[in-house]
Amino acid sequence: MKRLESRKNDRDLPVSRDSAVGQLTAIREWGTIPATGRYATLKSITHPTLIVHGNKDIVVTPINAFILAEHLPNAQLIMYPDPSHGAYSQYAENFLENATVFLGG
Amino acid sequence: MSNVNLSETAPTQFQGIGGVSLAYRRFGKEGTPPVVCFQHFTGTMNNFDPVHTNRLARDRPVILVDYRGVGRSGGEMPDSIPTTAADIITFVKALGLKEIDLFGFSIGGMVAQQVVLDAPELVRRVLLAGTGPSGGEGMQEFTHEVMEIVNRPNSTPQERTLDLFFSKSPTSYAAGKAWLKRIAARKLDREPEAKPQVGKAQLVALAKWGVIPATDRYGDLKKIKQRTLVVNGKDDIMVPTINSYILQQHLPDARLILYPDSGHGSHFQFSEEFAEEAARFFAAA
Repeated sequence: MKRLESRKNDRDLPVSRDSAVGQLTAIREWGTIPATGRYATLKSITHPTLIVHGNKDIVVTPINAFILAEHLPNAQLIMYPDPSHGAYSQYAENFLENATVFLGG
Repeated sequence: MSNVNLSETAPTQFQGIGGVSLAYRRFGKEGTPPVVCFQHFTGTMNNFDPVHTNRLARDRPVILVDYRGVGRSGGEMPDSIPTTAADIITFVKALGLKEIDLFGFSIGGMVAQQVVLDAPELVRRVLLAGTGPSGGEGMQEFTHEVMEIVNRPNSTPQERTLDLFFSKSPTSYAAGKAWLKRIAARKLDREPEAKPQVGKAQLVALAKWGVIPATDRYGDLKKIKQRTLVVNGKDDIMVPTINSYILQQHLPDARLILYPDSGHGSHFQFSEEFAEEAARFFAAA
């Protein structure tokens, strides 16, 4: 949080209530379980993918990161201990090193 | 230092542990706790990937060791993980070591878990590759697919290892062949292949390890407070990949890396990337 506050110029406005409501609707739509081929669309994402997750994520439960890793054709998963949804902030330096390797490869 | 291939030149040594001697190799930069490395089912010290061991040796002492009965280690392979771990604890203490890191692959990862459970005061960090907890998912017996490969007639050990450790993609298979070439490069002190007793005893040990306890299935994992790195490929047919996820979820301080396009031997397939990650893991404050 402290790092986020360090920038003073051109700070974005807080998200509006309408935007938040819209995002909740989008998340519900995303979460709908299809009648068939539950994770089939993941098979079509053949791009190299890096998945980063916290093992105590209460927003998107960690098993979903495992499901992504198992169903995406070319994904690497890094799961960090202790964080909830902000794993990549809690492990900022290790994440940065892994992201750099991933993007440079 | 980085150009020195210590993995290829370090001689095999022997350490008595009361009645028998264990064969081991020690190399690398002194001044930190050594990382003690444990091998897979029927594997010997020959099979450690020089990409891993040479990278780790740049920063710290690396100790490779063959279990009792394996390679030129004396005696017979124990038929239980706790007995094997007890040998290792005796070995570490006989070397006069007060603090060590552990790196175990497959059955070696089970030995590593048992060592840290039984001698937590000795262990600083733990790296587990292609392994699972006691009583894990699908760890009660090998699948039909695995047994078909193990018992395949007219196949060489190298062909079977490729099919067991790597996924079916051309890239994974090619990475497997590159690994086989790397581990064949060392000519000095090659250990004899594991005798038949080793495989038989290790199968019994694996079956015991796989038994699902009546209560508190993963309770032991909670006792391992040491920082741990768990690594596997997304399609491990020997120790199903979900077990790596289970390890991460139940160990108090574990991080998990799953690699794409790979199986049991993902750390051989992504050898350079894994070696850097492992080096960072052991080096981090």
